[in-house]
Amino acid sequence: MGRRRGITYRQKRALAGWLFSIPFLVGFFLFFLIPVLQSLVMGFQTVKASPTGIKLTFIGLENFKQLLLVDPDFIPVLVSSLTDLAIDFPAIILFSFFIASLLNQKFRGRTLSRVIFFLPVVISSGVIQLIQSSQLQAVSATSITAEAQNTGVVQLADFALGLIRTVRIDPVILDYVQMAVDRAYGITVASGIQILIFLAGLQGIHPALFEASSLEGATGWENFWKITFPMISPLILVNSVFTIIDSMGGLLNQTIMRIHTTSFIIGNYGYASAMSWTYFLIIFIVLSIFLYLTSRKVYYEN
Amino acid sequence: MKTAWRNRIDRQWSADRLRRHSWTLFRFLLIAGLAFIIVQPILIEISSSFKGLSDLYDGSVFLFPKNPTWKNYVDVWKYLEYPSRLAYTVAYCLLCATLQVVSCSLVAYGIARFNFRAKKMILGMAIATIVVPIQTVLLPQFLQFHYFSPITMFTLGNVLKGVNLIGTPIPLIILSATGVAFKNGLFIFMLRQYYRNLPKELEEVASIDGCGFFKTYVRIITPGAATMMMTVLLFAFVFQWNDYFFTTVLTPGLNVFSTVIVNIGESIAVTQGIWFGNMQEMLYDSAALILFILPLIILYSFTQRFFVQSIERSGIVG
Repeated sequence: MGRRRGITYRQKRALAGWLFSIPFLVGFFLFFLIPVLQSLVMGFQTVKASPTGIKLTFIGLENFKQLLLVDPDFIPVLVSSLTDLAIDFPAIILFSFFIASLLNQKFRGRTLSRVIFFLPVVISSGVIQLIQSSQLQAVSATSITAEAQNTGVVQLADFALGLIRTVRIDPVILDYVQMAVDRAYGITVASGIQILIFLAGLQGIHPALFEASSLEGATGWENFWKITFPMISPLILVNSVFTIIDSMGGLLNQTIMRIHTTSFIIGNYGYASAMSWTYFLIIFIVLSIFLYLTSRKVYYEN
Repeated sequence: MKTAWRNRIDRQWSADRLRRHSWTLFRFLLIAGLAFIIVQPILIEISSSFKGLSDLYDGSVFLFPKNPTWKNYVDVWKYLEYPSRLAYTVAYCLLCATLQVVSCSLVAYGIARFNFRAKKMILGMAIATIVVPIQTVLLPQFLQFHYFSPITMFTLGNVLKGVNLIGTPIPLIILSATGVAFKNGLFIFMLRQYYRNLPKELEEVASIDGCGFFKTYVRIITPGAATMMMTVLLFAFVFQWNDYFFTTVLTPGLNVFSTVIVNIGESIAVTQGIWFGNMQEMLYDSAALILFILPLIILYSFTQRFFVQSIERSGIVG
């Protein structure tokens, strides 16, 4: 029984749950939900900023028409964002899983390797990416060939691929691998958190499972497909969602930068709002399709 | 007969060993190569931050400048007023990060440990804040803080003028205190996973002893969660340090690094009367980048275990 009359202990706990959530709920409604809705409203207006305030004029679907039918830049930029995602996404998932398996083995220097692989999360996020990419542009603009991104390692890998090409493997796969290798830096840098998530998952698999199956005579290959893969499959889902969100909302994403320029540098607020809402809907569709296709294939232990 | 057996065993044994050793070698080369890919851009930045123009145009210079100079650092240091800006940035990021940890941890605890109907919806709301691209909310937020008053929050600054908070630290402080700053949805998710896996007995014992919910949270849960909170604090600090969009839009001109660090070379060149297109700008950029990430690298070298073990501890996996 609660101290106050008429309130059960259960209700009291529910109330406490609400109370703990209050700061976030306030923030969510005032500084997230309202802005999201306002941005939708602005998408249907021309927005003029003047010293006396903001002036809105309703223009219906004009912004969206302009965006999808007239603007020569928006759709190509959007397509290139999606292509980047399509190339990087499988590479990041496979790469981070592979590296996590490597880092899960026992060897000398393991701690140091983990520290280095996680370093990009600390120093290559946000502003730093922006500075580096602007420097790269400066370099290519003046055509001074500083070996900025294509390191010796990448060239070596390209060379090895050239050798493999002489052997018969499906050219589609090889083209993809070549593309992924050329983006090795971006992929490595974007994999930090995914590696950690996989690593934690691998460490969470009980060794007894492997012992038992090895006693029954299973090979390492069978162990992987029958134990490791099902146990890790929920994390593949978590990592996939994380990768999609990270790649679509990142600083180097061209669509994001374009929306940013349109709104805060050019000052075309209504148009930028229409852009950002279109983009948001596309991310939402991509995520939904992905979740729909994969969620049923994921194995949950409990 | 005996020697034949032994030979066979020897051969098998050495084949096994060969396989193991070649795997070790392969693994070493692979990890070293990838580690190099990660570290190499920083090495290049360090190298070019010590270059002068003569080294930049000299094709034979790659990593080690022939005439290393401190000029880039001296100019950037002066332009940034480094010591005071560093102090301000650290204080600002620490304040925001602390507020974010407090607000995120409160809501995470609320939805992890108490049973009420909306708890799943609140988690969904937290995740929605990271799924929606930041550009969608940034412009209305800018208007909210540009014409800040209880009414104009809803009216896009149309009815009243309100107070202009853009350029002050207040917008980010408000967003941090209410758990909707940069990537806070992720922090809420991590903390919620952590709290969810705590044993139930903790609160039961406290409740039997007559400890209220909030007191239980402050006195019993929080001290136990100190390492997890430290991890989130470090993430929040680093993200705040590196943040570009919130900082440049809501707090332009603030005395932190991220407001000036992009295209800093150009700005310095302009103050020196050099105009666009000078390669010196690029060298300034490199020196500024090193000065910008150096504090982060020092922080990381002391606290890397918090980052590296963060996911395990949060129990996202479990």
